[in-house]
Amino acid sequence: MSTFDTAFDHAITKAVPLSAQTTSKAQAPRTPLEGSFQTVERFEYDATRLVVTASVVGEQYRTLKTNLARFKEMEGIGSFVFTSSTKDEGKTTVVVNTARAFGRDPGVKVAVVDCDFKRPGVADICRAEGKAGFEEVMTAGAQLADCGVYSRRDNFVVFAMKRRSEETTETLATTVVERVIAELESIFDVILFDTSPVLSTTEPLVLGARTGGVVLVVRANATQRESVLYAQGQLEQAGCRLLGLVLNARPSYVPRFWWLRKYDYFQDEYTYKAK
Amino acid sequence: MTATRSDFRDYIRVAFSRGWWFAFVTLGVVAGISYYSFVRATKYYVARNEILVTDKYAGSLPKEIASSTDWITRIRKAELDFKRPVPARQTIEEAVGAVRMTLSESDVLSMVDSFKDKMKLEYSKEGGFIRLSYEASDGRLAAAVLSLFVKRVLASAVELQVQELNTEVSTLTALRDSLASQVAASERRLDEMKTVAPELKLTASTMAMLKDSRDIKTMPSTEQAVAVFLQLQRDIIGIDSDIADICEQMTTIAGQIKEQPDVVPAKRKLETMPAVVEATRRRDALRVQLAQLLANSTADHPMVKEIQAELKSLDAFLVSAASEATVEVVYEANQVREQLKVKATQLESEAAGLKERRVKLEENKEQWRKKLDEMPAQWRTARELTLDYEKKTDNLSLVTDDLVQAQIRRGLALDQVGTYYQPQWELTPVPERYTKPNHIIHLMLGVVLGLLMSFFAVYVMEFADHSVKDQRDLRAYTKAAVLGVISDYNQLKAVARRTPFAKAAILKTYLLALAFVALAGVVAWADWRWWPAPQKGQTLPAALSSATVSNIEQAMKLYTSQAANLEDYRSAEGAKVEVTPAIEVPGESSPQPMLSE
Repeated sequence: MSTFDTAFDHAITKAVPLSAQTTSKAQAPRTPLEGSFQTVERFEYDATRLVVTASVVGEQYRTLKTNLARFKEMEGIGSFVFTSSTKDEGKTTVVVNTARAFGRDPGVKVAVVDCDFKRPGVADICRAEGKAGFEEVMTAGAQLADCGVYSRRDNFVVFAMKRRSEETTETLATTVVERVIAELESIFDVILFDTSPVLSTTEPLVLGARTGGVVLVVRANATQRESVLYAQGQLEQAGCRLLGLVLNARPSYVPRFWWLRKYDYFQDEYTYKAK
Repeated sequence: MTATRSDFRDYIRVAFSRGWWFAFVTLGVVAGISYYSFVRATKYYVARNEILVTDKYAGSLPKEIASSTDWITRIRKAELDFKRPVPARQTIEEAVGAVRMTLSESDVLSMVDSFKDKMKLEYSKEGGFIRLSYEASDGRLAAAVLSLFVKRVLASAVELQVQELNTEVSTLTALRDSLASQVAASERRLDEMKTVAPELKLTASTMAMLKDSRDIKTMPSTEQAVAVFLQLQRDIIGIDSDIADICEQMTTIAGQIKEQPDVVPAKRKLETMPAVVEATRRRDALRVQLAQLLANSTADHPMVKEIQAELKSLDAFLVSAASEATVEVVYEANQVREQLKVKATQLESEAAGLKERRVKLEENKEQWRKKLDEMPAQWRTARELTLDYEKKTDNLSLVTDDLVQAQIRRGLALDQVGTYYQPQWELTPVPERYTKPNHIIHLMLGVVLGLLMSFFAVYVMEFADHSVKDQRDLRAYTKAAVLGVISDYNQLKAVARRTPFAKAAILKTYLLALAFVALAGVVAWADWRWWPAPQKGQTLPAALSSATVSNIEQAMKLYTSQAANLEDYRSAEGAKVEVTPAIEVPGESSPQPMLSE
């Protein structure tokens, strides 16, 4: 991590010294999930894709987390399928950073499930590998406890892939999917599924119809409007509920010196009128 | 797709996302307009004048002008097309006078020579205008230089013509002289031949034949001499035949003389005479009447006596008639004989003459044969000399005609220089005051125009770009809630870390503004430095820059060296080639008002 990020992280983590962190295995679990899965102290994130919590973008992720938590409060929806219309729109980054935002609350049980069977990316960001990959859970009948990895500091469980599978028809068998989702929902309060693009694969359609809803990630200045509309139509046709959209990687066109004067210049009213 | 309502933040986004497009397009347009304003635009202190070339110049214009196809008709068409009102113009006389006050004629002529490259010659597309334009520091100067240039072009064209004609005349003169000497020589030889000709002792017929020809140039050739010889032979044969005819006639005449009787019988003669026959018939009738009377009546009847008297007279007549007839017949017989004798003597003399002539002809024939054997070459040379003389005389007359025509043409060409070709001027109005392009205005115009063009380009690009821009875009198109907006974290990180790229990204705005300011400053400085605003009332001498004056001095040196050669040429040829100014210098009595300052 760079000096800029470590400075912020130090500000965050200075309340808990490293000596205390290293010796916390003997202490009593602070969170409900601690001990249920393979537990690590912290994820070794990919520095280029991690967002500093105390930055403006971290605040934007907290806003997203708040909007998602609103669904849990009002409608009891706890499982969200993150997808996009095309590839490379930042689904995995958004999912992991949103999970970090959820994990700030120590009482909430959060899970990040990597369901992108073709191009799994969660393991690359979090550098977390369980005893079994999630594809084994879906096909070979491995247990979720063998797959998940829990971080004490980030307070969420990661179900990562170990290898990419070429064929997804077996893994997406209805009974298995429904069983696994039910098992996950029985354990976690918030489950974030990282899936593949809508327009090229079927995972988001299969998963979205059996979970609470779908969140469509759109990359600014890259995704075409027609692609978004077509993905929306695909989701409706598959019976998925589109909870909302997330605009990712929005560049700021105003110079920094101006941008800093007004706090949260681009956080306009639309983010709060989500419903 | 439903259209989104544009917002001010959209303009901000577009302005910052396509900022470089705005900058580059605007800078490009500003640079182009500045280039036009400083380099291509009409410079100040420039007068452009037109010349309406008329058909009077057909012969003396340079070839590139004169060779344009049917330009005279095009000029007339253009004159019909250009029915424009004649603007208030400054006359060329005033212009030339204004120039002359400060520069002499030779100076201006030298400027004409030195600034030939600056002269622009273009054909108007509408019609047949040949537009000569010249840039000078003053309109009057430009007009004067233009007029003198045209005059000089015409004069040089005529000079070239005169030079060619001079060479033509000299060659023709030499040719004529040589031909004349040749003609004289051949004439001399022909005279010698003429003196020789009488010594040939030609016969009368040959001499007559020769006399029929007017000149000695038609003297008989060898063939003709042979013809004369043959003619002589034919004459001899004809004379022989004549002699034969005469001999025959003589024999017949001798026969006739012999047949001619000495005495012709009278009865026969009387019976043939009608008066005698009538008298005899009358006598017989009277005798019958008398016998009847005597038988019927007495002898005393008055009729008897009358009849007897008449019978008596008839008898007397018959008797006398018989005697007379005898005499006449004798005379006739003698006369015929004498005539035949005379004829015979004539024929004899004629035959003798013919024989003499035949002898002469034979002698002549012998002489001609001798001459023919001796002098065929002399006759041939005489004939050739004659023909040569004739040819040379014709050539001489032709060459003389050419020479005369060339001399006439040269005279005409010399007349053209001074009087015949007066330029017809069609001048654009000469500017009264100095003008210059307003560079600042041009710069501002470039900024406005460039911004407009870049706005248009960016609008097109935005219109073609269908990518999602912001959350408003998303919400408008999908009608779904936007749960979150995540900024570009890498961009913010780069700015926060003060990377060089981020610093440059911040600086580029300042640099862009600085570029515009610098460009404006450069334009303003150049405008002030190189395009000084002329003062009010500034006149021609002050407007002439030092560079122009030095050019004029160099051109004067060149011109003086060239003029000496020209003068030598003119004096040597004796041709009065006077390059008079196109426009007369106004007299001293009318001072130029424009030079009062």
